[in-house]
Amino acid sequence: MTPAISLRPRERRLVIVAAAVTGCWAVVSIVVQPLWDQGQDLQRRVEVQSQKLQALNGLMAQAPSVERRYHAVTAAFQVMDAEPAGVAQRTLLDELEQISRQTNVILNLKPRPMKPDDRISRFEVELDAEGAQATLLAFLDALLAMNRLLEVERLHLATIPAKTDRLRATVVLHHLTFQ
Amino acid sequence: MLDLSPAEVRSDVRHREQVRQLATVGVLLAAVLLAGSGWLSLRLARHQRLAARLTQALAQAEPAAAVVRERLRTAALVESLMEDRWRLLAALSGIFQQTPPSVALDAVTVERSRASIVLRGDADSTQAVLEYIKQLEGLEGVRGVELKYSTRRTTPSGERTAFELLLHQAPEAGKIS
Repeated sequence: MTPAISLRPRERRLVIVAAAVTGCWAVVSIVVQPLWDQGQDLQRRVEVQSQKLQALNGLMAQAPSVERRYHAVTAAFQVMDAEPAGVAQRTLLDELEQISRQTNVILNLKPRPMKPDDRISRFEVELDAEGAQATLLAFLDALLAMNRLLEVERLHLATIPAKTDRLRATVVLHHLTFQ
Repeated sequence: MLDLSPAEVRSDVRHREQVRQLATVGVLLAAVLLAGSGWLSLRLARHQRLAARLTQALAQAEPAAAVVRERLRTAALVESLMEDRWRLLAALSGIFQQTPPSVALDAVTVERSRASIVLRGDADSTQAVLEYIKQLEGLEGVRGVELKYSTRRTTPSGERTAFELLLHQAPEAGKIS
């Protein structure tokens, strides 16, 4: 049997102090520190979510004016594509033909394949229009007044060398529709 | 006060006193740790409840907000397209209005992606071209006018100065969604 280690009172006190310090360290690192860290994380999460909610509330406060703006633009333009893509393209080409007939302009159309995006479809058409200066400008005016979402990517307006009184316009158009 | 107790009794009393003090310090320390942990746990529970409420509120508000966001983007896109059309018309109208009889334009090319307009034509003299440049620089939405070339040519109607100008549009003028 091993003899019991007898400590002197000073040594015993040191052992008790060391045990107390170790115990405290253990409690702090096992219980207090994780609780503190978790609390800090949650506080940050709460702050981020509060900011998000504030931003959402700000957005919702703007909802009536956004709604008015949206209805104004959708009333003025054919924004949403209610028809199938092919039908919408044909309708646009028909409308362009109709404008060219009304303004007495010779029109050639070169439709390009549709480029679908995640929310916007872009249908590209190249127009080659020829006519007298006044009629061609009237055609361009009518084109830019169409109630469709048209983006003029390129416009080339030039005189025709052989025909001095006539102009030729090459227009690359994008017809946008929201899906 | 004189302590007449025997040395062993005195030592025993002092020892018990030390043990009591140590126990008190230990209990106090444990109480502090317990109270701290309790306070932290309460704070954690409160934050958890708050986070759960916020998550729920966000989940409820999100669908309506997504609709508003989408409509806002659509309206902004349509407005920017309109702005672009208006700028194009304004630019063309400005160019035609500023073109004097001494200048004849052969070609006008508008490039949306480059935010530029190229003018090609001829004028009575180089001086007329320079004056035309000055007038174009005064147009709204034009950031600068660059003379690409200017050459004297003999044509059936006499000596003419052929030129090409590059109009740089202001940044917002060429921008679309």
